[in-house]
Amino acid sequence: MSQDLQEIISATMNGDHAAFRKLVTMYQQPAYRLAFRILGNEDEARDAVQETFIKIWQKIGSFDTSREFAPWMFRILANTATDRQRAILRHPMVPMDGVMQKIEYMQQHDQATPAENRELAILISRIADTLPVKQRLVFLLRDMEGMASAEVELITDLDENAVKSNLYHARKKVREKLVQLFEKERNIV
Amino acid sequence: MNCNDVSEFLDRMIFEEVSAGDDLVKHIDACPDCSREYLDALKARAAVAMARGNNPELIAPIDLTDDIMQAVDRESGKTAVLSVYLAKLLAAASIALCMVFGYEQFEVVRKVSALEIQFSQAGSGFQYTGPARLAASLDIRNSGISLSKVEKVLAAGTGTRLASFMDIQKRFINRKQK
Ligand SMILES: [Zn+2]
Repeated sequence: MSQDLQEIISATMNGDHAAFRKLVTMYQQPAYRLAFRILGNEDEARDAVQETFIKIWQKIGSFDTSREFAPWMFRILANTATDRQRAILRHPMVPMDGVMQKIEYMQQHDQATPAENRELAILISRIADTLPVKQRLVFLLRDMEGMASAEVELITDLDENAVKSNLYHARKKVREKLVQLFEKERNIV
Repeated sequence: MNCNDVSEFLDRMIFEEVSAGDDLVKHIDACPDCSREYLDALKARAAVAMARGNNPELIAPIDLTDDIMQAVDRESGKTAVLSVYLAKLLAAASIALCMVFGYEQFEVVRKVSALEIQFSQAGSGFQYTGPARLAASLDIRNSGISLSKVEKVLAAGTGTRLASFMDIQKRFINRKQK
C-alpha cells in the first residue's frame, strides 16, 4: 500500500471525515463501474456504492492495514451489490431487437454510439444475470472488469482452481446465450 | 483438428487475445458448421469487447462523493461528534491499561470491548469500531512495535488532549519505575 493511502486510511480510522472523503474520491469510480456491472442500472449502482462506503466507514476499524485496501473494498461492494440484486425481483427487460445488426454495423464502422455501448453492456450483464452467483461474479470481475486472477481470488475468497472453473462455465454459458440470440435474430430476418 | 477443437478455441477467443493457428483456420474454412460458429464467435467477441469498454454509463455521477459524504454524516448523525470524543477516550483507556497496569493483551482487549459496548448502548445505536480496538489489539510488548509509535499514530488523529493525557501517564510510570 502506498504511504499516502496508508495515511488516509489511518486518519479515517481515527474518524477523520476529510480523509474519508479522499478515500471515497479515490475509489468511487472503480466501485461504481463494478456496481453498474452487477446491477445494470444507474440508480441501483449509485445506491450500492453509497451503501458500500457507509459500511466501509463503519467497519474501517476492522480493516487489516497489512493488507491491500482495494480487494477489501471490492469484496464489501460485491456482497452489497449482489444482495441488492437478489432483492430486486425482476429487472425490466431491455429490448434486444436488432442486436446482431447493431454488432455488425459496429464491426463495419469500428465504432459505437454511447447508446449502443450501453445496450451491449446491459445485454451482456443480462446474460450474466442468468449465471449462478459465483460464476457471475467471477465473470464480471475477470472478463468485464479485466481484473487479474489473484485479485479475483481475494475478492471472492475462492482459490485459483475455483476461479478458473467458475470462469470456464460462465464463459461457456455467455457464449451459448449470445449465439442463441444471433440464431433467433437470423430466423426473424 | 476437429469441430471440438474449434469450439474450444472459440470459447477462449471471445474473451481472450488468442489467434487461430493454421490448422484451425484450414478446418474452419472447410467446415460449414465451424464457419458459422466462427462468425458468431466474432460477433460475440465484438459484443463482449464493447461491453467491456469505458462507456459513459460506467462513469460515476459527478455528485456521488457529496452524496456519500452526506449519507455518512446522516448515518453517524450527532454521534459523529461523540465518536471522535469516544475514540480519544477509548484509545487513551487502552493505552493506559497497558501502561499503568501492564495487563496481558487479551485483558486489555476485553476491557476495551466492554467499554465499547457500554458506549454503544449509551449512544443511540452507535457502534464503535474505531482506533481503540486497534490500539488494544496491537500486542505492543511482543510485536516489537514501540509504544511511542502507537502513541504517535493515535495522537495524530486524537489531538492534543490525548497526547497530554498519555504524557501524564508516561511520567507517572517513569516515576513508578524509579
Ligand atoms: Zn468443424
